[in-house]
Parts: sequence; C-alpha cells; structure tokens
Amino acid sequence: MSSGHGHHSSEVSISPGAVVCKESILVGEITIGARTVVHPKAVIKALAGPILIGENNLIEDQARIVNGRDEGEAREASEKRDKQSVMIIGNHNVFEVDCHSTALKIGDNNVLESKCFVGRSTELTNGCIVGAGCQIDTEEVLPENTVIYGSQNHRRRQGDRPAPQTLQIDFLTKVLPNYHHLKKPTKKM
Amino acid sequence: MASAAASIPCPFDEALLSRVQYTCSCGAPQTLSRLYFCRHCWAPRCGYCVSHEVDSHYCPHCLENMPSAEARLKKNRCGNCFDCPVCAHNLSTRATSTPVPRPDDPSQLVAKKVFYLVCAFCHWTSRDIGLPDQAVASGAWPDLEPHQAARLAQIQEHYRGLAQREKLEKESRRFLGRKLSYMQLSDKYGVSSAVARKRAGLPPAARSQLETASGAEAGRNAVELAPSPAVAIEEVEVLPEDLFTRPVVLSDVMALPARLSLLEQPPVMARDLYLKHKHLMIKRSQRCRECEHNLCKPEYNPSSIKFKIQLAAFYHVPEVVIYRVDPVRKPGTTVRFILKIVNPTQHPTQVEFLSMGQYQAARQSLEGAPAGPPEISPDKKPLGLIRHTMLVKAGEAQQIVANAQCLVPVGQVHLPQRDDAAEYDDTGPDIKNVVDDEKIVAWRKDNRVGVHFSARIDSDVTPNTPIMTSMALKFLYTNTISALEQKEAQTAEIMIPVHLNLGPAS
Amino acid sequence: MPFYEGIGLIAEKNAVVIELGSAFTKVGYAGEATPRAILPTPELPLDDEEALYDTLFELIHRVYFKHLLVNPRDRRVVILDPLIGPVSLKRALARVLFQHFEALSVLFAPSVLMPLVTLGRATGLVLDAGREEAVILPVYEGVPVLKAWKATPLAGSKAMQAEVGRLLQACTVKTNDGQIQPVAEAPQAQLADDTIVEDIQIRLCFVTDLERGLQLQKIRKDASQVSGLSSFLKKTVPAVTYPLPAGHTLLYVDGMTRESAAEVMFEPDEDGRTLASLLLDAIIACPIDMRRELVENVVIVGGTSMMVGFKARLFQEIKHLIKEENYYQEKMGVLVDQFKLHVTPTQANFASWTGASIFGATDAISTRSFTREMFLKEKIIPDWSDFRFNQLYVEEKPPT
Repeated sequence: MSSGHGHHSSEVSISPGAVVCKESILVGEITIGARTVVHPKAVIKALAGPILIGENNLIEDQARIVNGRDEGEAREASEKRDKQSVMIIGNHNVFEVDCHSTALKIGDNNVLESKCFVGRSTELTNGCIVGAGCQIDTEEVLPENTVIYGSQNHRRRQGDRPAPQTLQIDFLTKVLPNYHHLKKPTKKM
Repeated sequence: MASAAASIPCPFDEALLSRVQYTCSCGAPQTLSRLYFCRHCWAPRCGYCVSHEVDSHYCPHCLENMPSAEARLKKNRCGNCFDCPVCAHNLSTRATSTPVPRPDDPSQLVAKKVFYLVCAFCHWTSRDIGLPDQAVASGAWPDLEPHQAARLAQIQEHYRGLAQREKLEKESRRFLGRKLSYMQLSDKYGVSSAVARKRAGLPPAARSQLETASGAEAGRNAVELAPSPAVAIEEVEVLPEDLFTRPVVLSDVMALPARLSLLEQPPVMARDLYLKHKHLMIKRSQRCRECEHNLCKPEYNPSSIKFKIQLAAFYHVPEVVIYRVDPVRKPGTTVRFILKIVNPTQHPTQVEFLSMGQYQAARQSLEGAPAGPPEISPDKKPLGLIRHTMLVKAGEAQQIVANAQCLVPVGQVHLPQRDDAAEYDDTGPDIKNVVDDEKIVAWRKDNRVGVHFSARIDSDVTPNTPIMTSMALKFLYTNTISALEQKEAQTAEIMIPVHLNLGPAS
Repeated sequence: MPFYEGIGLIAEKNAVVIELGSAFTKVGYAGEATPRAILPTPELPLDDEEALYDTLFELIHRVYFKHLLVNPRDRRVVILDPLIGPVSLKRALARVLFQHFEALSVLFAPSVLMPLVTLGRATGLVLDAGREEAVILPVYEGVPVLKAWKATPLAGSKAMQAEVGRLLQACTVKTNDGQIQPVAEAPQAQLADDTIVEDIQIRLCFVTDLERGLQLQKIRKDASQVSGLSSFLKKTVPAVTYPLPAGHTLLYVDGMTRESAAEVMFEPDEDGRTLASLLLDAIIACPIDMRRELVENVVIVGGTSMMVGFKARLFQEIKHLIKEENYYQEKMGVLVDQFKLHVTPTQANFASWTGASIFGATDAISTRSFTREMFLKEKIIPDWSDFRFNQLYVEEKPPT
C-alpha cells in the first residue's frame, strides 16, 4: 500500500470549507469542493487521471474512490481502467463506509451504501441509491432515482431523490476538527 | 486466519457434532443436540417422531405476544407492523412535519407531524403508491379487501345450503332404511310420493349433488343464487393497444414473489402494490407421542429464549465424543480410537458398551419383538379409548450402514456425576472404590472418561469414504421425577445405539 | 376475512385447504377467499416412497407451523385431487397427514370441479394451465367426463420457459467493457439459472394474436421462406434491457423472444395437435347433447393462463380451426359462434383453491371426508381408479 499521507499534497487542491482529515489517503491530482467531508482512512486515488469532487459530499471511512486500477487488482481484458480520463463527482453524494467506486461520472444526490461496488462502466446520474453490498458494473447510464438492492441486484425506480445529508455534514464539520488534524485548504477563494 | 494443526476445533461445529449420531426410538439417526429424552418412557425422542404443537403467537418485529383467539381473528398478522410489498423487509415509520393551515386562522401555517412508512432495504415508501401520510403513528393505515368478496360470500351461502340438504337427506335415508318406499303409501292412501314426502316433513328429493338454484325447488335452507354469467370472449380479453409502442419500464412490472405475497389484489404493476401486515411467528412445544407428556415447552414471553420444560437428551444421556482416532485407516485393518464419555446428570452412572449383535439380542429378549429395521407399521394397539395414537417410525433410507465392525471393550465403567463446583473443589469425585482396567480406561477427569475402542474396517472400503461404525451405549439412568410413592429414586438400564464417523479411509 | 362470522353455525374449527400444484402449493383455511400463503412446491420424488413421505412431511410441517400457525391435530383437511395424477402422491400425503399430524379427516376434492364452484355452476369446460401441463376436462352436472380428458405439456409454463431460454440464445448481451455479444458466446450470461428465465417469461412475454402468430410460426420454421419478412418485423414489441443479477451484464430481450415464446402452445406437435385442437377434441369426445352447454361455459384457470393475450388467442385459434379444418367444421361448425368464457371471481392461479375453500366450509366436509378411524382400519385411501371404491351406488358403510 503506497503511503499517500499527503506527500503529494501539491496535487491535491482542497477548497475552503471542506473538511479533509489528515489520515485520509489521497493520491494523485484531486480537487475537493467546499463543505465536502472526507473521513480518516478514506481512500481517494487518482491513478489514471484526475478526480474532481464537488460540494457537500460525504465520504466516510474506508470508502474507496479510485480512478484507474489499484495495486493488487487484476488486469482486465480490455484494460479500460488504465486509460487516462477525468473522474467527475457531483454534489450532495454520500459514499458510505467501505464502498468502492471506480465510476467515471457521478451526478448529484447519489448514495453508495456500505460495501457496494460501482464499476467504471456505469454512470450514476442523480438520486441513485446503490444498496449495501450491491454491485453494478454494467455499461449504462443509470436512470435518475434508480435504487439497486438485494443480493440479486434488483432495481426499482424511486419517486424522488434521497434527501441530502446536510444535518450530518454540519455536525461533522463542527465535530471532526476536535478529534482529527485537517489538511489545510489550498485553493484561494 | 491460519490455524495450526494442533489447535482445538470448536466443539459446536456442526460437522464435528454430526460425526456421532444416536439412534432415536423411531429409528432416525440424530446428533445428541437434536434429541429429546422422555423421562416417563425412558427413551430418546427426536423432532421427527415427536408431536409438535403451536404454543403461542408473536410478531417477529415488535415482539408482541398475541393470544391465539386474537391471532385467528387477525388472520395471523400483526396489527402494528407492516412488510414491504417489494422486498418483504420490515417497514419503519418515519415522521415529517408539513405545514398545514390552522383551523381558526387559515392564512397561518402550523407544522403538523405526519407519518409515512419506508423500507430500509429497498427504499420503498408508502408515498410511492400515493397513500396519504397518516396523522397517527400507528393503527391508521387502511386494510385491503379481497376482490369480489361479496359475490363469493353469496356463493358460499348457497353451497352451505346445498350441503346441509344433502346431509339431512343422508341422515333421513339412513334412519328410514332403503326398503321404505312411498309406493306403499300411495297404494294405501292414494297419495303421490312428493306429497307423501311433504307429509312426512322431509325436504324434497334433490335430483343431483350440486344443483344450481335455478333448477332446484327452494328448499328450506337454499339461497337464491344466480349462477355466474359467461361473457363473450371479445369483451374479456383484448391485447392492449400500446403493447407494440410503449417502452417497458422493467422495474415497474412486478416479479413473481411480489405478486404471490399480496393475494387480496395481486399487483401486476408497481402502482398496484399495497401494504401487508407482518405475518406472525409461533413458538412450538413438543410432546412425546407415547406418554403424552411435554418434552419441551418454551416461555410465553416472546423475547425470552428460556424454556419452562426442556427435556433435552443432552442433559440426561451420556455424551459420546470422538476424542482421538488413529490417523492410518487402511481397509481390512483394525483402527483404534478413544471415545470421551461425559455424564451430564446429577447421579453417578455405570456405562457399558455392546456390539450391535449383542444389542439386537438384548432388545429381542426384552420386547419379544423382531428387532430388524423398523417398518412403518400402524398395527400398534390404540393406547386410549379416545385417541388412536400412531407411533411414527423412520424409514429404512435413513438408517446408517456401518462399514467397520466395532470391537467394544468388555466391562463396566463408572462415571461420576456432574459437579458444578468441581473447578473450585480440589478433592475430586468420590471414586475410592473404583478400579479402572487400564486397557479400557485411557484417562479420567471429574465426570468424563476416555475409553479405548477399536474397529475392524471392512476390506472392501474404498479410500476416502467415511468409516462408519456402530455400537450400543448402555447406561444406568436415575429417574429424576419426584417420586410420590417411593422415597428412593428409581434406576433403569437404557440402551441407545450410537453411530460413529471415524473419518475417511486412507 | 371469512365469509361469515356466525358463531352458532360453526361448532367446528375451520378446515385447512391445501392445493399441491406442480409449481406452487396454495394453503389456507376453508371459508376464506384467498389462500394464506403460496409457496413453491419442492421436487417430489414420486418413485421413492420413503423419500416422498419425508419430503411431504417437511412440506406439511412448514405449512402448518410457518404459514398456517395452527395445531394440525384434530383438524380437518381438504386436499385438491387432480383426478388424473399419481396415486402414490395422494396416498403418501394422506399417510403423512394421518400418521404424523393426526389430522381428523381428509377430503379429496376433485380439482376440476372447484373453479365451477366459484361460479355457482355445475357444468363447464375446464382448462387448467399449470407448469407441467395444461389439462382440459369437461364437467357436466357435477360429473367430470373422464373419457374426454385431454392434456398437453406444451402449454405448461415449463415448456414455455424452455422456449424462452432457447430464444434468448439469439439475443445479445452487453458486458461491462461495452462489448455487445450474442448470448451463446458470452460466458457471463449465466442463463442456466431457471429463475432468470422464469422471471423474463412472467414479466416480459405475452401471447400475440392469431395473424401475427401464424406469421411467427412460419418464421420460426424457416425464415428464408417467408415473404414480406422485413415489413412484418418492423412492427415488433420494443426490446427490454434486463440487467442480470451479477451486476455487470445487460441482457437485451428482443421483441422476437417476447412475442414468439408462447407460440409453442399453438404450433402443432408431431401429431398435429395444439392446445386449441385438444380443446375441440375434448368437446367432440363428449356426447353430442352436452356440447352446446360446454361450449357456452368455458372456464380457464391456472397460472399459465394469466399471460397477456392467452385467452383471446385461444379462442381465435378455436374459431380458425373450425373454419379451416374439415373435420372440425363438420363436428363443431354449428357451435363456432357460441363459445363463451367465464371470468372467475378470483385470480386464475388460485381459482381451484377458492372453490375448495367454499366447498370445505360446507357440511360436505363432514359427510364426505375420509376420517382417521377409517384410515387406521383400512390403511388405504379411496381413489376412483381403485375398483374397490368405484361403484355407482356406494353403501353407507365403508367397504370392508
């Protein structure tokens, strides 16, 4: 495991207002928007291209957002993961504990529940919920408000988006600095 | 995590436990953990031969007890809890506040708490089908009526009437006998048979078993029923117009499990879904079929896991555990092994081992019945005048076939009682008068002994097949039922066949 | 809810009604409109008596203690009896209920009569389309005309699902690297799992009308012979994207699969028979005086019949056969416009169950049931195929 404890801090730009804990693992060129919270032990690796993360996102412990192929992962037949491309993540998304996302494009208000896996081929639009333990790696653009649940990865359409976790983000913004060192914001606003 | 070869395996591992199987009185082989022991019959019983009964109903979500009468009325469904119609998970109640106009001053808005149901697994909500949020946290959700309930009730009444008439007829015919014919009456009195029947007060003769009301005379109990009309096919079934044009939203078409769960109005599309109340669960009690005593009775309280009565064999029958087996197990040779015998009771016991041949002979002399493989035979004499009890016997397919002959040690082994204070007491059990034959007893500790065994493996055993051997455990059982007449406890000798899986042949 | 809440009339507890279909088992209480539960029927080893007994024991155990939540002892049971079915199953079921569960009595209700009970009728032509096969049996004045019994496995949902599986081989999948491959070449397609094919058949397939159906049958036989193929194919149902459960492959179920899987029911087999021709044969096998009333009272039940377009197509086929084939024109020409269909007041997949529920809530259950005492004495279950019981006028006492 590469020790990315902020040694590449020159490539990581953190907007003011973002709460990024020092124990998080950031590798490569990453931009983090305002009021986004990154927990300790969260992993964001921009290996095959930069990652742009929007505002008001919640990235919990041990969540993995990887652009490219991580060490130890098998080489896929098409080597799609190695191709250089930009990963764009929108606003108000939630990446719960131990979720694993390699999706290149994620919109707004999505929720990736614990231990789920979203592959590089999938594009999440807005309001999608990928249930705990579910896997989605189909080459498609998931329609808005799709919910994926169950061991068989069933799908259904929800009526409206999941509510943004503003309460949680406010709480964390207040409390996390009391217990963790934070990375200093680099962008000037 | 890698474990060293010398590490102790978990004693509750199912694979390990299933290597020792006892034969229940019905013939089915079971692990000791699955057997009950009837104190009155002095025999093991298992889940297959015991009679199960419903003890109490409870809701698995709110753990609320429900008296059986109420359960019957509510069709075994909880009044407060709901299941998600999509994924069958529990629905939880969530509260939000919405602004509503104040009753006295419509221009002002007051926050009012309203509740809706949501599924934590698939995120389905009661709002998805347009159900309005309720003002009360529970109890306000409307129920679903079965489709066409009124028509079916009408049909039911009609058939009840028909069947009642048929029953009356049968009974009256039985009463009067077949010989009586109304020809005699009409000869004597010049009266036709229909009138004669009317005079006798009997309902008129039915022409066929299941008549329609339009054909039959209105008997006293019949209900006027218009039979369902048939409809021309053109009115019934038409392929929908937009079938060829409208794209299908797959997630809106319900899959089979959802359709089969809501039978009052089975949902084809997602908009047809509706709430279902959570189905209850039961606590079961077990009863010995021979003596009608309870073997296992759980507590009434749903959140309690204890039992009022628990006659598990584990607490009464010595436990046999395979302690050690020779690693080399060639067909045709003798393999040695040590069995650990544990006495779980509060009384010391004497344990003896019989080969299967000796066991069959002993049983034969005891019962005088042929001790072959048990058949399903219902010729047992009825035990009571009221009930004809049929004892259940396991089939032949369940029998374990041994491929090694067990050479049992000869002689009795004393086994002291279980002493819960043993770890604090250094004196140890009272075994002053016990002399152990070194060739039989490998070691002894508190209420456990290790006993040397050997078995001769059949020569035609192929490598890697499990070696099965059988022997019978004979032990002295001390009756724990409080004796009313006798002061001393009764003892009895009980024999139970035990089958051992010694591991794969090499 | 029960049909009536009168306490005085019912001194007895409600009987339990069980229908052991080939796909699903419907269980519930007599007197209620719907079954309490529908559970999948396990594989029944019909040739091994002991294994059959054990499988049935486990099933009935679950039925009583997980779904019905009631004591089996001393409670009457109604079992639906398909009349033409393995007697070993009937006997094993009765044995399990009497020996193990100490049921008070068992009433075998002929399953073909039960849908008619829900209609309040005694005469009708009953078609029951299940998983293994579709069975046609006319009933006249409450008596099944057994000599006119007809059945075909081609109209069972099992045959249709096999066809769906076959047609899907010609469809494509899109794997997670964006490649579109035919199903046959994609190992990730995992269509060996029956549940996926069953799900596709239930949610996406339907029965198309006669005109298109005949065209589809020609195409299925030999597409090169068909003229106007491209214009015909322009009008197809939209394909549906079906995500496979593994999460990385999308299956495209094309319009052809959706529309033509059901054609197995209407394509003539080696003997030239289809579901429609069998229905007509069943009517023709009945005495001539019965035929009009049967034709005017067709009853269709069974889960497979709930497919969209099934009933309409069946009647189109019947009329087509009568018009086109001389044999049917001769025999049935007079009645061609007299066909009428009943709509059962309950869903087709448990219409027989509801009929048995109505039947089991009447006094018939005490007069016609086979009691535990009788079983202990006789040790054998009466069945119409056993000549000891098959007499026109049965004595009051059970035969010795």
